[in-house]
Amino acid sequence: MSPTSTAAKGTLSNADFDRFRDWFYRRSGIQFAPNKRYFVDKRVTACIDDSGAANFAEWFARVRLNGDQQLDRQLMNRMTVHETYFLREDYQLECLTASALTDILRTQPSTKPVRILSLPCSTGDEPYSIAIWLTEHWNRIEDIDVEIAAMDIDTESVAAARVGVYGLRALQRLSLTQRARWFTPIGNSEFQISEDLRGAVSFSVGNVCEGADMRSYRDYDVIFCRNLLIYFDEVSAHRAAENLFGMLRPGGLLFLGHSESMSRVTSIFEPVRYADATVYRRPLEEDA
Amino acid sequence: MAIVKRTTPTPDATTDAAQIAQDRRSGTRDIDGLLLQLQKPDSDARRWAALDLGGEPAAVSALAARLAFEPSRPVRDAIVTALVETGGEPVARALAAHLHSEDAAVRNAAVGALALIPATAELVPSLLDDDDPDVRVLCVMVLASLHDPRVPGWLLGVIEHDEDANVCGCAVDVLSEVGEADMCDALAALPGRFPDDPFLPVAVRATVVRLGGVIS
Repeated sequence: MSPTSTAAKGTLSNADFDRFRDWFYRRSGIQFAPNKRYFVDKRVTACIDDSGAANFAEWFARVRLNGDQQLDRQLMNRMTVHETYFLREDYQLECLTASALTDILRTQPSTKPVRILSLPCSTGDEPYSIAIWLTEHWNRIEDIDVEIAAMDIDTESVAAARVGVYGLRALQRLSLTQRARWFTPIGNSEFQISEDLRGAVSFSVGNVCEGADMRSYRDYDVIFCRNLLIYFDEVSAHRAAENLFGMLRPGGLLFLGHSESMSRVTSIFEPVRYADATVYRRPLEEDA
Repeated sequence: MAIVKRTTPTPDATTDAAQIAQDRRSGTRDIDGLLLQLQKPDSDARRWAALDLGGEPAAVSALAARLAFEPSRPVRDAIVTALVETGGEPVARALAAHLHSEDAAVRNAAVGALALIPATAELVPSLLDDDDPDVRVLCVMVLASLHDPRVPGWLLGVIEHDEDANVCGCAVDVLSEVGEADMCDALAALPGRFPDDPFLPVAVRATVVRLGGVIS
């Protein structure tokens, strides 16, 4: 028996690719189909080169066995997309209005406002997108009030979100009609979101990993927490999941990023498979 | 438009926050108060108490003891999170004792938590030497996620010396992820120790291929 792991520079051997793919799925919930091989090879080999490791085996041992947080974060940054813009992953917003809110209303009186929390809200693109989507697409919006709260750990992001000024790139998925309806041009190719929306979303600063910070966020019907947990180490992801659970009312729903899975972190949520997306529910009835 | 500003106070000034502050002042959220709340009938109160006890070495034995019979899954999960946050060898020892539990939920909770605590590594040699093969299997499951450079060596020791085929089979499976190419010869020798086991040759072959070796 002899090792046969060889690969051209800039690529992984088939065996190394398989090992990496299986581990990375357990680590992040992100699964790479065979047609993503080039993407994975390119980014992983870049991580190996940056780390100074001699080869995949040495680098993988440092990430996998030594728990090198710096390498882990570098890997996650390379393997994921860092963009924030309006109506990002709008199929989840479609899921919200087509299915999720119907379930929410089944388990609470319609006289009560629907409470939605967006975190991390960054510069406000997501909570404002939720407000725009609900106003344009939810047929109950005229008779049921919706409260939208938003939170981020970064004080500067929250301050920017409150001001609500965006460049063209953030607005790329909005139609001209939507831009005209919800934004005011302020020069330099920048647009400020309408005063109505700025006044409708409550922004605050908080850290989802801090129990004390999160204790006062309670009874939300829906939480959007997309593309955050994958960046946490395992202990922090556990704490964040516990806090998210506590922030939802029983029956409340949690939206994660499209490639994220709560099942790798905890089993206290129930996965709910809608036509457009899988979301996670705090069970209505908890044992004892 | 029915997107409305919160009608309840902002989180910074909620009555909840004020209540917590009041609780802190009155001492009901000190360790003794939280340990009392850990016994309350309301599962949400127990869950919050467990989480608030995270990082408190003085609460380790009470949390670990509660884990053994806590009926609520969310509370069990909160206890595990709290114990992991506290970490250290006392926590690892308390959790390792649960690997002998008759309750699968408790055993699984212990495995998940032990894998997240670096100090677990100090207990691995004794756990791999446990008389109960089920405990050794659970220890190998812990090794599947434990961050420690000694993991491949411990697994190699299992496939070379453990007398239970199931324990060895689990180790082969984990080695497919954390093993090294120079372990292929030891892997290849394993089925010879258990000639009646039909599963091991298949598992070994898959792992050797995964490690970049070839079956000669």
